[in-house]
Amino acid sequence: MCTYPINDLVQIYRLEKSFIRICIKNQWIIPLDSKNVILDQEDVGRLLLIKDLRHNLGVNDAAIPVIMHLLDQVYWLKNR
Amino acid sequence: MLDPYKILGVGKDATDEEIKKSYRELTKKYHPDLNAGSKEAENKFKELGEAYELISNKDSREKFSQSQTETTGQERPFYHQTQNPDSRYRRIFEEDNEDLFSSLFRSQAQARNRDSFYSLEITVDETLHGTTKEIALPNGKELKVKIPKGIAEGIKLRFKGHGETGGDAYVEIHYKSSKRFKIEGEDLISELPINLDEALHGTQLDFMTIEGPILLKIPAGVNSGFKLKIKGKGLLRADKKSRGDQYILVTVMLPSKPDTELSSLIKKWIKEHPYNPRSEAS
Repeated sequence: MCTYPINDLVQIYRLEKSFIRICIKNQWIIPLDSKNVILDQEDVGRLLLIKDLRHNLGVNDAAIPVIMHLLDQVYWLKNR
Repeated sequence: MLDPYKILGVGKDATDEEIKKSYRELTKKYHPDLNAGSKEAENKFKELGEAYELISNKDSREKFSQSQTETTGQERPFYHQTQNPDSRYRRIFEEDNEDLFSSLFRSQAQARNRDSFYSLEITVDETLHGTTKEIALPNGKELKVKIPKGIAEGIKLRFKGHGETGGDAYVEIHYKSSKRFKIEGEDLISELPINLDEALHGTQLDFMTIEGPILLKIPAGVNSGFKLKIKGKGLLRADKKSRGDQYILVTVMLPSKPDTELSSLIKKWIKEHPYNPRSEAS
């Protein structure tokens, strides 16, 4: 399983550190290892989707948790 | 998809020199002229050339990285690719078989009165005198953020009751580089243009640091590229007690318009005192 500290994500995916922190504080992502802030592929896929939603699709911050919650639920139902 | 790092056998954090060294070694090994008749060597040689072009310097590496993550999207994991029965994020549904929307509304209700977090980037220049910025909130309102003079990076400003769901809003301050103060880790880099007279004879001038102006002494006989270090005038370190340093990069500037008097004076002077800075440098 691939895991990444924040600094690696900043380099590899050109994500801003402050953006990652905001996502964690708003609990849009819950890092695999919250104490040491280590993220896994699932966290990264989520972060990049949130980045697309905010920057490319103009979704506002209040709608992010709603969209993510519904998406999570759709995939959960799909796999049942 | 061509992975130039793999082809050249270097890490993603390799320097220009390391990449060049590896490229030279491999092109020697696979040079078609040294592997007569080998089509494989020829293809490998071409591949090395293409790979080197993609990552030979910082700019090309940045462009390549951007094309990987933003244009082609080849390397990024998409959300749907990470969804499997073991996904951590949907475990919350496993214990609760309520319908699609009730769990959403429940989580929204739980979110009521929760605090909201924002980040705000400011330049070091803006901290010198303090400033006021506005943040557009998701509810359409604007939050006026008064930044006090000398605010430290990482400080969180609290705005009671301004959170999206009735909680408080927290704005975390982050520094960004400006023309006057470039941020490199905990150090600040500033450029200082000086004229020929100041370069030859030295000077004293007022210079702005993160803690206000200081009297800066430029020694006589400095060249472009000369670096002055001002200890303890960089950004606050993680210990919140000490600071990094400020580096001042001197650039000697000629007059913006060519001056005939200066030109003839220098022509005459160089004839009598020839010197070659390139031979000195080598």
